[in-house]
Amino acid sequence: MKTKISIKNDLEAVKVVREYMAEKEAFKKAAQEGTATEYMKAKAKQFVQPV
Amino acid sequence: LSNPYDINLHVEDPYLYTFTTEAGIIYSCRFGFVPNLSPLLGIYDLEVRDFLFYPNYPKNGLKKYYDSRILPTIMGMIKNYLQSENHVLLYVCDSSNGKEKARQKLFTQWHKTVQDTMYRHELEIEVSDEETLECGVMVSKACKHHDIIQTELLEKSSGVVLAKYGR
Repeated sequence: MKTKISIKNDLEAVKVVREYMAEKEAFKKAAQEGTATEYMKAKAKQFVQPV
Repeated sequence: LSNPYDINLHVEDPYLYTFTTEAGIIYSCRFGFVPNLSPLLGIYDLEVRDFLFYPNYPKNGLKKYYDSRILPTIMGMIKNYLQSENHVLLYVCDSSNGKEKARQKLFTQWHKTVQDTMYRHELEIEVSDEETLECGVMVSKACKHHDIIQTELLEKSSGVVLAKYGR
Protein backbone atom coordinates (compact mmCIF):
# COMPACT_ATOMS: atom_id res chain seq x y z
CA MET A 1 0.00 0.00 0.00
CA LYS A 2 1.45 3.38 -0.98
CA THR A 3 0.09 6.86 -0.38
CA LYS A 4 1.46 9.71 -2.50
CA ILE A 5 1.11 13.34 -1.58
CA SER A 6 2.66 16.50 -2.96
CA ILE A 7 3.65 19.54 -0.95
CA LYS A 8 5.68 21.23 -3.66
CA ASN A 9 3.17 24.08 -3.94
CA ASP A 10 3.09 24.61 -0.17
CA LEU A 11 6.21 26.65 0.45
CA GLU A 12 5.82 26.60 4.22
CA ALA A 13 5.55 22.80 4.24
CA VAL A 14 8.58 22.48 1.96
CA LYS A 15 10.59 24.73 4.28
CA VAL A 16 9.68 22.65 7.31
CA VAL A 17 10.43 19.37 5.56
CA ARG A 18 13.84 20.72 4.62
CA GLU A 19 14.44 21.64 8.28
CA TYR A 20 13.39 18.12 9.29
CA MET A 21 15.80 16.57 6.80
CA ALA A 22 18.55 18.93 7.99
CA GLU A 23 17.93 17.69 11.51
CA LYS A 24 18.23 14.09 10.33
CA GLU A 25 21.47 15.02 8.64
CA ALA A 26 22.73 16.50 11.93
CA PHE A 27 21.97 13.17 13.65
CA LYS A 28 23.89 11.40 10.93
CA LYS A 29 26.88 13.70 11.31
CA ALA A 30 26.84 13.16 15.08
CA ALA A 31 26.90 9.41 14.41
CA GLN A 32 29.86 9.84 12.12
CA GLU A 33 31.60 11.57 15.02
CA GLY A 34 30.56 8.78 17.39
CA THR A 35 28.23 11.00 19.44
CA ALA A 36 24.73 10.11 18.18
CA THR A 37 23.57 8.79 21.57
CA GLU A 38 24.56 12.00 23.36
CA TYR A 39 22.99 14.02 20.54
CA MET A 40 19.70 12.11 20.87
CA LYS A 41 19.66 12.62 24.65
CA ALA A 42 20.21 16.35 24.15
CA LYS A 43 17.47 16.58 21.52
CA ALA A 44 15.05 14.61 23.70
CA LYS A 45 15.40 17.23 26.44
CA GLN A 46 14.12 19.87 24.03
CA PHE A 47 10.65 18.37 24.13
CA VAL A 48 8.62 18.15 27.29
CA GLN A 49 6.75 14.94 26.78
CA PRO A 50 3.25 14.57 28.19
CA VAL A 51 2.64 12.09 30.97
CA LEU B 1 14.18 -12.69 14.42
CA SER B 2 17.00 -14.87 15.64
CA ASN B 3 20.24 -13.92 17.34
CA PRO B 4 19.71 -10.19 17.93
CA TYR B 5 22.25 -8.12 19.86
CA ASP B 6 21.57 -7.26 23.50
CA ILE B 7 19.84 -3.90 23.84
CA ASN B 8 20.97 -1.25 26.32
CA LEU B 9 18.33 0.95 27.90
CA HIS B 10 18.97 4.50 29.14
CA VAL B 11 17.35 5.78 32.33
CA GLU B 12 17.53 9.37 31.09
CA ASP B 13 15.35 8.55 28.10
CA PRO B 14 13.07 5.50 28.03
CA TYR B 15 12.73 5.70 24.25
CA LEU B 16 16.48 5.60 23.58
CA TYR B 17 18.19 2.26 22.93
CA THR B 18 21.72 1.33 21.98
CA PHE B 19 23.47 -1.86 21.00
CA THR B 20 27.04 -2.72 20.11
CA THR B 21 27.90 -4.98 17.20
CA GLU B 22 30.63 -7.62 17.19
CA ALA B 23 32.73 -5.14 15.22
CA GLY B 24 32.40 -2.62 18.07
CA ILE B 25 30.01 -0.26 16.29
CA ILE B 26 27.46 1.33 18.60
CA TYR B 27 23.99 1.83 17.11
CA SER B 28 21.81 4.59 18.59
CA CYS B 29 18.06 4.11 18.13
CA ARG B 30 15.21 6.31 19.28
CA PHE B 31 11.44 6.33 19.12
CA GLY B 32 10.81 10.05 18.97
CA PHE B 33 7.77 11.87 20.23
CA VAL B 34 5.57 13.41 17.53
CA PRO B 35 3.48 16.19 19.08
CA ASN B 36 0.42 18.00 17.81
CA LEU B 37 -1.03 15.30 15.65
CA SER B 38 -4.59 15.23 14.45
CA PRO B 39 -6.81 15.16 17.55
CA LEU B 40 -8.68 12.22 16.07
CA LEU B 41 -5.59 10.01 16.55
CA GLY B 42 -5.71 10.82 20.25
CA ILE B 43 -9.41 10.11 20.45
CA TYR B 44 -8.65 6.61 19.21
CA ASP B 45 -5.70 6.37 21.67
CA LEU B 46 -3.18 6.03 18.84
CA GLU B 47 0.41 6.86 19.89
CA VAL B 48 2.61 7.88 16.96
CA ARG B 49 6.43 7.99 17.21
CA ASP B 50 9.07 8.44 14.58
CA PHE B 51 12.02 6.07 14.48
CA LEU B 52 15.67 6.95 14.00
CA PHE B 53 18.69 4.70 14.11
CA TYR B 54 22.29 5.46 13.29
CA PRO B 55 25.55 3.56 13.57
CA ASN B 56 28.28 5.51 15.35
CA TYR B 57 31.35 5.17 13.25
CA PRO B 58 34.48 6.29 15.11
CA LYS B 59 36.63 8.89 13.42
CA ASN B 60 39.47 6.44 12.97
CA GLY B 61 37.04 4.34 10.94
CA LEU B 62 35.87 0.77 11.06
CA LYS B 63 35.34 -1.05 7.81
CA LYS B 64 31.63 -1.36 6.96
CA TYR B 65 30.41 -4.88 6.36
CA TYR B 66 27.15 -6.82 6.29
CA ASP B 67 26.08 -7.89 9.76
CA SER B 68 23.14 -10.32 9.79
CA ARG B 69 22.37 -9.55 13.46
CA ILE B 70 21.43 -5.90 12.84
CA LEU B 71 18.13 -6.72 11.10
CA PRO B 72 16.76 -8.90 13.94
CA THR B 73 17.94 -6.35 16.51
CA ILE B 74 16.26 -3.35 14.83
CA MET B 75 13.11 -5.23 13.86
CA GLY B 76 12.94 -6.74 17.34
CA MET B 77 12.87 -3.23 18.81
CA ILE B 78 10.17 -2.17 16.37
CA LYS B 79 8.16 -5.31 16.99
CA ASN B 80 8.40 -4.72 20.72
CA TYR B 81 7.17 -1.13 20.34
CA LEU B 82 4.30 -2.28 18.13
CA GLN B 83 3.19 -4.96 20.56
CA SER B 84 0.67 -2.40 21.65
CA GLU B 85 -2.03 -2.37 18.99
CA ASN B 86 -2.41 1.40 19.42
CA HIS B 87 1.24 2.22 18.71
CA VAL B 88 2.15 3.59 15.27
CA LEU B 89 5.67 4.02 13.92
CA LEU B 90 6.64 6.64 11.38
CA TYR B 91 9.96 6.60 9.52
CA VAL B 92 11.60 8.80 6.89
CA CYS B 93 14.35 7.31 4.73
CA ASP B 94 17.64 9.19 4.72
CA SER B 95 17.89 10.95 1.36
CA SER B 96 21.13 12.85 1.90
CA ASN B 97 23.07 10.66 -0.51
CA GLY B 98 20.27 9.99 -2.99
CA LYS B 99 19.72 6.41 -1.80
CA GLU B 100 16.29 6.86 -0.24
CA LYS B 101 14.60 4.45 -2.68
CA ALA B 102 17.21 1.79 -1.86
CA ARG B 103 16.50 2.31 1.85
CA GLN B 104 12.77 1.99 1.24
CA LYS B 105 13.44 -1.30 -0.58
CA LEU B 106 15.55 -2.43 2.34
CA PHE B 107 12.68 -1.65 4.71
CA THR B 108 10.43 -3.70 2.42
CA GLN B 109 12.80 -6.64 2.83
CA TRP B 110 13.10 -6.13 6.58
CA HIS B 111 9.32 -5.88 6.92
CA LYS B 112 8.96 -9.34 5.38
CA THR B 113 10.52 -10.79 8.51
CA VAL B 114 7.65 -9.46 10.65
CA GLN B 115 4.79 -9.23 8.15
CA ASP B 116 2.82 -11.87 10.02
CA THR B 117 2.18 -9.33 12.78
CA MET B 118 2.76 -5.89 11.21
CA TYR B 119 1.39 -3.83 8.35
CA ARG B 120 3.58 -1.29 6.58
CA HIS B 121 2.13 1.61 4.60
CA GLU B 122 4.53 3.37 2.26
CA LEU B 123 4.30 7.13 1.92
CA GLU B 124 5.82 9.23 -0.82
CA ILE B 125 6.03 13.00 -0.34
CA GLU B 126 6.84 15.07 -3.41
CA VAL B 127 8.83 18.05 -2.14
CA SER B 128 9.82 19.41 -5.55
CA ASP B 129 10.02 18.23 -9.15
CA GLU B 130 13.46 16.79 -8.34
CA GLU B 131 12.99 15.62 -4.76
CA THR B 132 10.71 12.99 -3.27
CA LEU B 133 10.85 11.70 0.30
CA GLU B 134 10.37 8.00 0.92
CA CYS B 135 8.59 7.42 4.21
CA GLY B 136 6.46 4.78 5.84
CA VAL B 137 4.20 3.88 8.70
CA MET B 138 4.25 0.57 10.55
CA VAL B 139 1.46 -0.68 12.74
CA SER B 140 0.35 -3.90 14.37
CA LYS B 141 -2.11 -6.04 12.43
CA ALA B 142 -4.12 -6.10 15.62
CA CYS B 143 -4.76 -2.36 15.31
CA LYS B 144 -8.44 -1.68 14.72
CA HIS B 145 -8.00 1.82 13.32
CA HIS B 146 -6.21 1.50 9.99
CA ASP B 147 -8.77 3.78 8.37
CA ILE B 148 -8.00 6.52 10.89
CA ILE B 149 -4.26 6.11 10.31
CA GLN B 150 -4.83 6.43 6.58
CA THR B 151 -6.94 9.57 6.74
CA GLU B 152 -5.49 11.33 9.79
CA LEU B 153 -1.81 10.45 9.52
CA LEU B 154 -0.79 9.37 6.03
CA GLU B 155 -2.97 11.80 4.09
CA LYS B 156 -2.22 14.65 6.51
CA SER B 157 1.48 13.93 6.83
CA SER B 158 2.64 17.31 5.61
CA GLY B 159 0.55 18.81 8.37
CA VAL B 160 2.19 16.44 10.84
CA VAL B 161 5.61 17.73 9.88
CA LEU B 162 4.38 21.31 10.14
CA ALA B 163 2.95 20.66 13.59
CA LYS B 164 6.02 18.85 14.82
CA TYR B 165 8.25 21.79 14.20
CA GLY B 166 5.87 24.34 15.58
CA ARG B 167 4.84 26.18 12.42
